[in-house]
This record gives sequence, C-alpha cells and structure tokens, in this order.
Amino acid sequence: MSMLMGKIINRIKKEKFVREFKKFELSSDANKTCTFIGKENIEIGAECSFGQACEFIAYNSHLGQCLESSLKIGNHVRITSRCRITCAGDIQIGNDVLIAPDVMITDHNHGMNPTISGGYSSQPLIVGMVRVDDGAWIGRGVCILPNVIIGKHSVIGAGSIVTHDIPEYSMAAGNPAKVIKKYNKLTCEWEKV
Amino acid sequence: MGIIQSIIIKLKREKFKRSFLSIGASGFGSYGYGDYCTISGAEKIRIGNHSWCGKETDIFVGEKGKLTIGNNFQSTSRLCIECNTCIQIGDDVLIEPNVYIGKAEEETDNIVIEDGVWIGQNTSILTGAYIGEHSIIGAGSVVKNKIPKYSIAAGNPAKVIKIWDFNKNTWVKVNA
Repeated sequence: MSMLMGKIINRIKKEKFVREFKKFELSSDANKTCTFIGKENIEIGAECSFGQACEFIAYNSHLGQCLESSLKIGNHVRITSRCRITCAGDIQIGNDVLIAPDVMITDHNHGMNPTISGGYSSQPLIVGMVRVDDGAWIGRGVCILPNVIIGKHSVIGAGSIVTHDIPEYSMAAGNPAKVIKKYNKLTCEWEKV
Repeated sequence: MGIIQSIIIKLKREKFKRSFLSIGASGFGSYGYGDYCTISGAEKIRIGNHSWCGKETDIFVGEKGKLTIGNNFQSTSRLCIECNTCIQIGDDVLIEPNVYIGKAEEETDNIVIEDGVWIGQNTSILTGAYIGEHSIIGAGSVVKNKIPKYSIAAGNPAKVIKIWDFNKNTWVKVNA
C-alpha cells in the first residue's frame, strides 16, 4: 500500500516538474542532480536518460542583450554525466544520439573585439546554432563549438574539438576535429580516408 | 532573498575574506563567501575586486606558491589552480569551464596571464606559459610557452592562428 502511495507521489512530483518545460515527455528520466535553466525554452523527447550533474542552460538574456534560445533534444537520447549544453540561439539534438561524459556543447561566443574595455565578458554574445543529427555518438570530453552540424550516425573521437561540420556516416577526431574514416555501405566497413 | 539570509551571507563572506592575504570587497565564489569552492593556502592568495568563480572550483597553493588574481575575474565553473610557483592573473580575465592552471610539482617557471585574456573551455595552462593581453586561447588547448598579445592561439601545443589587425579592425589569419 505504501509502495503504491510512493509511486503516486513520485508521479505527481514529476508531472509538476515537467510542466515548467516547453516540452518534456514523461517517459524521460530526469536525474535530480541535473540543472535545467530556462526550462521554458527546453524541449526533451521520449525515453531520454541523463547522467549525474548535467547542465542544460537556455539563456533568455545576457547583460541586457535579449536572446531567443531554443534547446531541443529528440527521442531516446542518452546523455552521460557532467555534460554541459549552453544555448543562446538554436541547439537541436536528434533521435538515438549517445553522448559520453564531460561533453560541452555551445552555440555562442563572447564578442571578440580585443580593443573594447572591460574585456570579452562585457561584450554582447555572437549567437549561432548547433545541430547533432540522428544516431550520432559523441565521445568523452568533446567540445562542440558554435555553427557546427554533425551528420547522421557519425562518431566523434574522445577529446576532439569540433569547429567545422562533420558529414554523415563519418568518424572524426582531433583538435580541430578532422574526418579520419567513412562508413562504406557496400562493404559495411569503416574505411580510412 | 530575505533580510536574515543576506545578513548570514555577509557574515560568512567577512569570515571567508579574513583568511586571504588580500581580497576585494565582493569576496570570491558565487555569493562571495567561497561557496562551492575548495581553497587551500588562502594566506598566499591576493584577489582583486568584483572577482567571482562558479561551482566546483579548486585552488591549491603550495609552500612555495604565490597566486595573484586581478579585478573583474570571471570563471564559469570547474577551474583548478595548482600553484607551486608564482601565478599572476591580470584584470578582466574570462575563463570558460574545465580549465586547469599550474603544475602539481614545485617549479621554477612561472605563469603569467595578462589583462583581458579569454581562455576557452577544457584548456590546460602549464608552467612556463605567458599569455599576452587581450589574447584568446581556443578550446582544448595546452599552453606551455609565450603567446603574444592581441592574438588567437589554439591546439596542443598552442600556436598562434590569428592576429588582430589594428588598421582593418579585424582578426587576420597567420600563415603557418
């Protein structure tokens, strides 16, 4: 009887939690250690799972600069511990994406004029976009910088810094990340480029 | 925030500031009292005004270490400074998440980060690094040597990839 009460209470708490988001499918699991800032701009699909201490931030404004951010996560996305996704523009993560621990995804930069007093932190943000297409696998500690599209079913090697688009069905690694293998659909093998 | 809560935070901040060699009025940490920070060797640390750091910040200053942080220092989160030598950080420095500065063993080489520098995420700044003013260090870099002022450097080891052109008022690529 008390187990049933516990389940009902948890369900009520979850419904209340989910209502603050733009969209959050009930089948997705929200870890209590995760931080969500700007929930009204965040959409999360079905059957997603999140590791410990993840941070999802969708800014509404920065130092007086108005921002319209949109952070969309598709279905069946698995995000492991300590990932940090900061959104000031548009970040879309497709379905079936696997993200290893300690990954950082950002779609904006600080203003980059070195002659303005107050340093880079006092300048308005330069906002871009990031898209990670269906089935991609992002390795541990990867940094995905603004204005990057990672193609379908691509694999990004651990520790890479992704600065340019990665085509679909390819394996990329390094700083900056470069394509090292492509998947051959005829031979069903990864072939060196 | 209630009045009692702000008084408690102010008291915590004053107590926290007393352990430092010198520190600005606003303290250090998200609310100024070293919240979410681990700091050891505070008696060898100088921090300027309006400096703050995000959570999971670890600062260790060893026996022969000396750490100076300037005004308006901003570190988003997960900064780790292991200071066993002389580390100087200037004013208006912006540090992205997950940056490591220093070296675990005792060293004779120092680290200098001049005013207005922006350090990208996941970088390591090791002893011997000298980053000139208003320079930008790209994400994922490892800096062990001198980076001139008004330049953008990236990679492991960090190499200059762009320089600010004062006539054209824009960043210009450097031919390797």
